[in-house]
Amino acid sequence: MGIKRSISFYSFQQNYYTGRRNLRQLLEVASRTIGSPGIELIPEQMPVGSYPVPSEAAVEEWKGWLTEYGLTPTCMDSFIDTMLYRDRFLTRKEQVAMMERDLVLAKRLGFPVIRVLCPVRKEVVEASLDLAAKHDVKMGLEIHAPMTIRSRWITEYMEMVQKSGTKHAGLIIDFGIFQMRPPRKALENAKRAGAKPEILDRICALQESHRPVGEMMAEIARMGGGDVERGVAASLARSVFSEPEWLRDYAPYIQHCHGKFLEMDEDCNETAMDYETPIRILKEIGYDGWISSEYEGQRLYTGAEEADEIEQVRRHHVMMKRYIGE
Amino acid sequence: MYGKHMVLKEDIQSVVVDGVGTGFTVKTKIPYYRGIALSLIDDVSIRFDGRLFPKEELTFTTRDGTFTFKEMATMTQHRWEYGEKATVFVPLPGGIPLGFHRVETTVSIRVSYLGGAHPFTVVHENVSPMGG
Repeated sequence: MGIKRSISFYSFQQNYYTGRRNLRQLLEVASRTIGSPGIELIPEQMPVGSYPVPSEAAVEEWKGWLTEYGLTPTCMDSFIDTMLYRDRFLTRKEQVAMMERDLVLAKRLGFPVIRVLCPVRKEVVEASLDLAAKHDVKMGLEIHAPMTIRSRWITEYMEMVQKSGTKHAGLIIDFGIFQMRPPRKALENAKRAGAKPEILDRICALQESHRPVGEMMAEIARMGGGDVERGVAASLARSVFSEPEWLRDYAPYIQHCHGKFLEMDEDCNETAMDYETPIRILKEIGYDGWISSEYEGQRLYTGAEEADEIEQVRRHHVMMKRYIGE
Repeated sequence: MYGKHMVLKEDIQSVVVDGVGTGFTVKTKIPYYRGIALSLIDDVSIRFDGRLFPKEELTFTTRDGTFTFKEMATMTQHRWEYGEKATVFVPLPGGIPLGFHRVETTVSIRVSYLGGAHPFTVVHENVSPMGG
């Protein structure tokens, strides 16, 4: 019961891409190095056998690894490529077929929930409700910035879910909606590129009070900033803040959380997102589920520097334990 | 990350058949964080010392075989996996000539949730037929 720790393997994308570690080795890291009880997978990124239909042998091997490392599958990330063909969008029927393909795979791999990408239309989820019930896998629409918990897209989707009475559709919360400031690494990069510290401070202050990027740009111009400062502000364009209190709106429908993060400092604090308040509220509303660490700071490193994905996730778990009270 | 790891310099090599250079290959990983159906590759092009080779002149080899881009436009069951090196063949009679050359590799993927194609280009300077 309560909040449990998981890792989205999205966090380890660089390790996998460069061939440094394969899926099995990453499972070992998740379990032995980080001590995570749960894992989340994007099977199109790190296929179990092959995607979308692995062999029985591959599925058995996967289950063996999970047992060996004591890991619980928490959520599987699904995509619906509506632009599969150059000249037309997929029809609703075709999109539902893709949804079913992923529901079936999730069932086989042991995942109880699939992440449905934010832009997937509610009509597609609605038309997939019977399939989700049949395979007994839940669909969670991800609330991801620049969407907020109170965006019309979410309101209309939740009207459909509540009206249907389904137990197989709900929400996944991405902690990127609680971003309070640029990650420390982005500010360090900007300073190194010649940004004025007082302008960066101003940008941070404006973001903490949830002011729009347009206002930041005007301030940067007024204070004599240039391209570097404008670049920092522009990087925040998709960061739209949701009040953590809004988590109460749909409490029984929250199926899973992505603990999106950009940079953990040496004391295991996230430098961009608020974690303390949302986790406190999740506890208050009785959230009984997982938070998967989802590290996305790789892109902040350029040139010879490389992100240390494993150390970043380790620190994130130290922080989560602190706030969960584990 | 893709800028550094998508194409390595040693992954650009002449192709020699029976002692004669027929062109060169560029081995490339996908500039995206997951694998995709081949039909989602919107464009690939190689610019060699300023000369552009559009996708119509190239072939693309994955673990499943070698295909033209016309064929790949309808290939939804075959995939280019994340981290997999695909081989792009560029027909350049003689192969890479002696000297040093500039090779630009562009791969563009249609990302449905972003509403369109996202090109990514990697540039290698001082590519030579002798290698590194």
